[in-house]
Amino acid sequence: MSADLSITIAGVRFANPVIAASGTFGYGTEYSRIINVVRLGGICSKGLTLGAKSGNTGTRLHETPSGLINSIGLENPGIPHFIEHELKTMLGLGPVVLANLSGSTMETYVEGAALLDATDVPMIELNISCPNVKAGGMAWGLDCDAAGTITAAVRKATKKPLVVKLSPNAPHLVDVARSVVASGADALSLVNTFQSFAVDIERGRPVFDNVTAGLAGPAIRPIALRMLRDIILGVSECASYSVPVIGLGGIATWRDAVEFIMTGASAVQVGTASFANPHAMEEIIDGLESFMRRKGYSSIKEMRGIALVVK
Amino acid sequence: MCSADTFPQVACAVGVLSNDFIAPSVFALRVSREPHVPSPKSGQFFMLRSRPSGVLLGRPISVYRADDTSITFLVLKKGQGTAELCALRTGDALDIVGPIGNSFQTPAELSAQGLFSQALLTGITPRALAEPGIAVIGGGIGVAPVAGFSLFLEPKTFDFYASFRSTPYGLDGLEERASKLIITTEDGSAGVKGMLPAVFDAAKYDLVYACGPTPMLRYIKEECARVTANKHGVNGSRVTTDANGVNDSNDPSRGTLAFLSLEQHMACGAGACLGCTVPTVNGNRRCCVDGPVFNAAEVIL
Repeated sequence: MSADLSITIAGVRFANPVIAASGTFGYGTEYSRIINVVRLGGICSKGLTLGAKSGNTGTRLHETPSGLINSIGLENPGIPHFIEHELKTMLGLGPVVLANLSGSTMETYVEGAALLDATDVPMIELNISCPNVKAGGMAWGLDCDAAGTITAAVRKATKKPLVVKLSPNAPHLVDVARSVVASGADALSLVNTFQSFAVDIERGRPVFDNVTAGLAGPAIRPIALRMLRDIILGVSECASYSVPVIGLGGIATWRDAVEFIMTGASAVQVGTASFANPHAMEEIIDGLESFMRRKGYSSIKEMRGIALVVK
Repeated sequence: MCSADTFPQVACAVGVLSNDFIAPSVFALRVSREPHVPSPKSGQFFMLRSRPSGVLLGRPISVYRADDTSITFLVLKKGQGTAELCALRTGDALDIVGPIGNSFQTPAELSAQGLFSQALLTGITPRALAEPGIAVIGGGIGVAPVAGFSLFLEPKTFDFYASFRSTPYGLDGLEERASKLIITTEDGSAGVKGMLPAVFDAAKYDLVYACGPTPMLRYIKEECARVTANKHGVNGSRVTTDANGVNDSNDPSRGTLAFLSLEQHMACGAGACLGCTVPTVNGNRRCCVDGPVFNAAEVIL
C-alpha cells in the first residue's frame, strides 16, 4: 500500500511534512550541492527584519551535551534585500517557502509583513520568539496580550497564510497560543529555542556577549514534545486541527518526527540536526514513508495525534 | 575564486586508513577519499565527526595533505570531539562534510585573478609580484593548512616560520623546500626560544600566508599594516616607487600583503547558520564559506 506524506496547512500543500527550520538552512541554496533540496516539504527562511541586522558580537555558538546554544542575533540582510536577491531563487527550489518575519517594534513587523505580502511567497512564519535580540523578538511572544496584539497587527497587513512561531520561554504558553489563534493565526509552530546561559570559566565571564542565548538540539526535544501536547490539548482550534501546529525542537530522526506527529503535529521542522548530518531531512522523509507503510498508515492524518491519550 | 566552490559538496562516511601520534595530543588522521569526494584545495577544510560520536557537531579541521585516494588531517586533541577523532583506529569510520571554504592563492594565481589592483592598495609593486619575498607562517596546529599550501609554492622561494609551545610537528619536507625553516618554541625545546615576534620581520616580505592562534594572526596583521603604512604614508598615499628596488627591507616600494586563515566555532560549515561570522571592513563574512582565508587588511581581529 502507498503512504501519502502530503499535508495541507492553511490551504498550502506540502509534498511532505518535513520543513527546514528558520536560521538553520540559510535561503535553501547553501546545502543544494549536498542534498536534494527539492525533496523537502518546505524551507523557512532565515529570520528577516525590515532593516539589515549584523547580529551579535562575540561567540555565537556553544555546544552542550546533545544541545547547541546559539546567539546569532538575527543577522540578516533585511526584507527588501531578501525580496530582491534571495526570494526568487528560493521559490524556484520547489519546496514551500515560509518567510520568517521578525522585528523589533510593531511598526517594523507590520511594514515587513506588507512588503512580503506583495511578493509570491506562499506563507509567512511570524517570529515572536527569537531570544537573541535586545528589542522586540521574543518580548512579543512571552505575554499573551502582546502576542495577540502583534499577531492582529500583522494579520491586518497581509492576507498570506500566517504561521506564528511561539517561544517556549513564555510562562503561560497555552494562553499565548489561544491569544494568537484568536488574533488570526492560521497555524502555529513551536518551539523556538530555550533561554539558557553558559560560563567561560577561564575568563570568569558569560560565554555570550548578549549573556543569555537560545538552546536547541536533542536536549530540548522531550520538553518541546510536552509543550506541543499542552497546546494541542489546551487550545480547542489546535485540538480540532482547524489551526494546525508545526512541531519542532531537537528532531533529528524519523522516529522523532513520528513522535511529534503522534502528539498532534501536522508537520515538523528540523534545524540543528542538519548541521551535523546534512542528510537528516532526507532520511526523515524516507524513514517516515517506510514506517507508514509498515504500520499501514495511508496518510499523515491517520497517525496524527493518536498518542494524545488524556489521563 | 569561484564562490560556488567554497560550499561543501559531499556529506558522507569515510574510512580511516591510519591515525598516527605525531606529537603530544596531535594525530595525523589519514582517511580514504572516494572519487565522489572532490579533491580539496590548499586551505580548505572539512567538518569531521567520529562515528559513533558523543558530540552533536562535526569539528572543522584543515587539510594537511591530499592525494588521489586519501586526505590527511592534523588533529589537536582539545575537547571531546577532537579526542574522539584522535582515538580513531584504522578501519573505523567517520562522517565528513566538505571540502569547505576558499583557498590560499599562489602569487601566480593572485596576479592572474586581478588581485593586482588590490595589491597596489596594500603597496605591492609589479616587481614584487614578479619575484615576491614570501613568508609562510604556522602557529601550533595552524601549521597544517600552510604546510600543505607550501607544496604549491616553488621550492626555495619562501621562508617558513613555525611556532609551537613545545614539540614541533607537521614540518615534513620543509627543510628541503623552504629557503629557510625558522622554528620557535615557547619552552626552547627546539629552534629559537620564544614566539613568532622573536624571529619575524614583516618588512622583509611582500606576501605572507599564515594560520595560527588569533593573537599571532593579530600580530602579523598589525606588523604587515605597519610596514605598509611606513612605506606609503599614513593616508595610504604612495610615497615613492622604485622599479629597480632590491629585495630588502629598505625598498621604499614595498608593502606586505597578508592572507590569514581563521578559525571559529562552526555548526553547519555550509554558510547557513551564521555562527562563524567574522567582522571585516566590508561587514560580516562567514568564516566557513567566505573564508577561512581572509586578506589581513580587510579582517577585523
